[in-house]
Amino acid sequence: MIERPPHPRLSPPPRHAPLLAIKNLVTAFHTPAGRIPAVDGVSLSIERGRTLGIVGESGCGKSVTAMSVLRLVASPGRIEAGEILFSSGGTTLDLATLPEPAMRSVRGGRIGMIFQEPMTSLNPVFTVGDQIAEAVLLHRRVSREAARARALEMLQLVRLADPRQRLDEYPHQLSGGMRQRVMIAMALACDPELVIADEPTTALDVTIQAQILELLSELRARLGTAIVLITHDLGVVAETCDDVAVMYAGRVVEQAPAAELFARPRHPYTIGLLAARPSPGMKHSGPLCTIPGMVPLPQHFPAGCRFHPRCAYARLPGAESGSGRVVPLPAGELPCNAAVPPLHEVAPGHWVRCFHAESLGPPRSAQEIAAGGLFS
Amino acid sequence: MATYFLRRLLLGLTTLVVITGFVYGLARNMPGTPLTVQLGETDPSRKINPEDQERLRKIYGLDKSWPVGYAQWLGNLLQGDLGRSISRKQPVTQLIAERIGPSFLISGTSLLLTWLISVPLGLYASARSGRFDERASSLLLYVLYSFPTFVAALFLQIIFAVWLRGTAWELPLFGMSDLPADAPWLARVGDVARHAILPVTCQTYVSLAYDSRFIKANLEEAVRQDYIRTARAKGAGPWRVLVHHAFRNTLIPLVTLLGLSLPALIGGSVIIEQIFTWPGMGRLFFESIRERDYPTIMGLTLMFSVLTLLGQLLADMLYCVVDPRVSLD
Repeated sequence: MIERPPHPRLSPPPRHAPLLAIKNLVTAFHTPAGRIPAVDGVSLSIERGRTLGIVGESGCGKSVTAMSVLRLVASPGRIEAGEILFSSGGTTLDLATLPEPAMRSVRGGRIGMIFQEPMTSLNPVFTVGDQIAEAVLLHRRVSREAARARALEMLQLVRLADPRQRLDEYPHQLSGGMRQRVMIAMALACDPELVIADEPTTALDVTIQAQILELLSELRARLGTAIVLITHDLGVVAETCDDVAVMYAGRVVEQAPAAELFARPRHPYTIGLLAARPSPGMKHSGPLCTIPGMVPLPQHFPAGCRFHPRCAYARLPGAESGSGRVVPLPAGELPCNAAVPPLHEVAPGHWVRCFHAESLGPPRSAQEIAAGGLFS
Repeated sequence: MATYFLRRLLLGLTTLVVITGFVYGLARNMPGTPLTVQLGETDPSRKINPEDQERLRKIYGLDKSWPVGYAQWLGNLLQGDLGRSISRKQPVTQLIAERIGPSFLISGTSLLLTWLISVPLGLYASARSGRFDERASSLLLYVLYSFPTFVAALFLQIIFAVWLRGTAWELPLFGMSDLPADAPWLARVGDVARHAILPVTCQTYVSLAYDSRFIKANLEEAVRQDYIRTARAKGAGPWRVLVHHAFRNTLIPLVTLLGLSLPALIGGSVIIEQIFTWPGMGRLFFESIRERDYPTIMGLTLMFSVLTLLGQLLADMLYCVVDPRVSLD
């Protein structure tokens, strides 16, 4: 039995019941090649009315986490363990085990979803108005006329030009940015308490991206809807999110308020990600910092901390770390490949999954790291 | 829109000239003429003198080369004259008019049954895709699909007309009606219906297997699309997702299939009409080729070609109805 270092608390604090709390979620795909755990023990929480950014590289499990919340993971994927606690209207539902009919009233009713591909996410054979009205009719006992009026109201809310005319147009008549506005209108049509946006701006032009993000922030402020924003773009997170969860290889490695995370990143992966960003204040020219190695495939996740083969701080008994340096293991510390580090709180609201988050020395700001070149 | 139809019309007319010219050339160059076929069927003791033969060749236009014959046929066609059948001594238009009804009775009923059964079957198969009951029914449909109609027809005839003779299940072996023309109206309808059961069954089972597989394949393609995920994320139930969102999108390929089946609807089936001695269009075509009855061959070729082109036009027009992205302009 491996002895773990003492940690103050092992689960996010019960400040007040979060709107959504994911606990140790495991979602795996059962393929002929074997079981692929795309999400392997994710824990994170979303507060009412706030925006949580989930960041990570492709394949880290951020989209599968989002799809798991609405139980839309396509076969052969399956939620195998964990809880998805959604506190709504005074009751708490576990979305991981909620029966399918009840789940349908959550989807689109209390939790809206916006997808990455506005070009293909709308049904080509129905008008925009019909598709928004359908979302209303599925969850509210209203007439077709009322649903259509609601659709018009939503199109006005997302500031689509000529909403009355657009109502009767088909998706192919709209541009990508307009379609994404329609998707947002559809996701918000039933006043959900939470909207999950899975890379909502990745497929759009940069100028349109900014408009869509601005719209999401504005709607959040106006309607009080909590937003989960899934992205691989730290810039987007910095601009729009209150809280950030960083995912790596199927797990959350760090969660903190955005300002705290950008100022004092504690997980070596987060530190690396921030250092890899070009910043306007960069003093020297030259190549950007990179994290050595590649994101492991779910079939080949390393034991212990999944980041340790690439980590400059990894402490292994007499072995080389990812950067080639041998770091002596201080007495009483666990080697990084021996056990999974728990997600623990290092500062109020700041959670890290690293054995050595405390002993990494004084936290350095992203600017310092970028200027100093931590991993170069 | 108007330019579209004009373009289609010109293209269609060109196609018709090419098809009929090609078929006329082929027919005229087949060994034998209507006269040799008739001679072969007459009593060998009766002698026909060469002058009479020459006179008949002139009457039927067999003395001219085929391009000239074709030009004449085309000229008559422009005046609305399809000519007279050589072997049946009747105007070709009248022959066709007589055969349309019986062929349509079999093909129309079969087409209606096929779609009524294969659409729910395709929906069911794609909803239960990969499960035991779906695999079993798909296997059965594959077996049916690969089972030749002429074998099935013979089996059905043996079972229903021979083994079950004298029981309530007995069905007529062949033909369209056993009752005289002056029998009561209702009795004649019932009699024709009884005669139609086996041919309709034969024609339906093959297209049933094909169509339901086609619908299932298209549904499975549609179900993988992003907008299906959107529909589910909206809270739509599995049935609504399948029928409203996915099936609505598979109508686009289905419309093509429907357009292609228009010629068969009136054209009938050669094999089935031959086996069941059904007085339809398919059998007329088969016999007219055997008898080298050039005017009838040409009349039927023209009809099939026009129907095929109309079917395509119909499919194109239906595209605009089922797919808002398509426009005829």
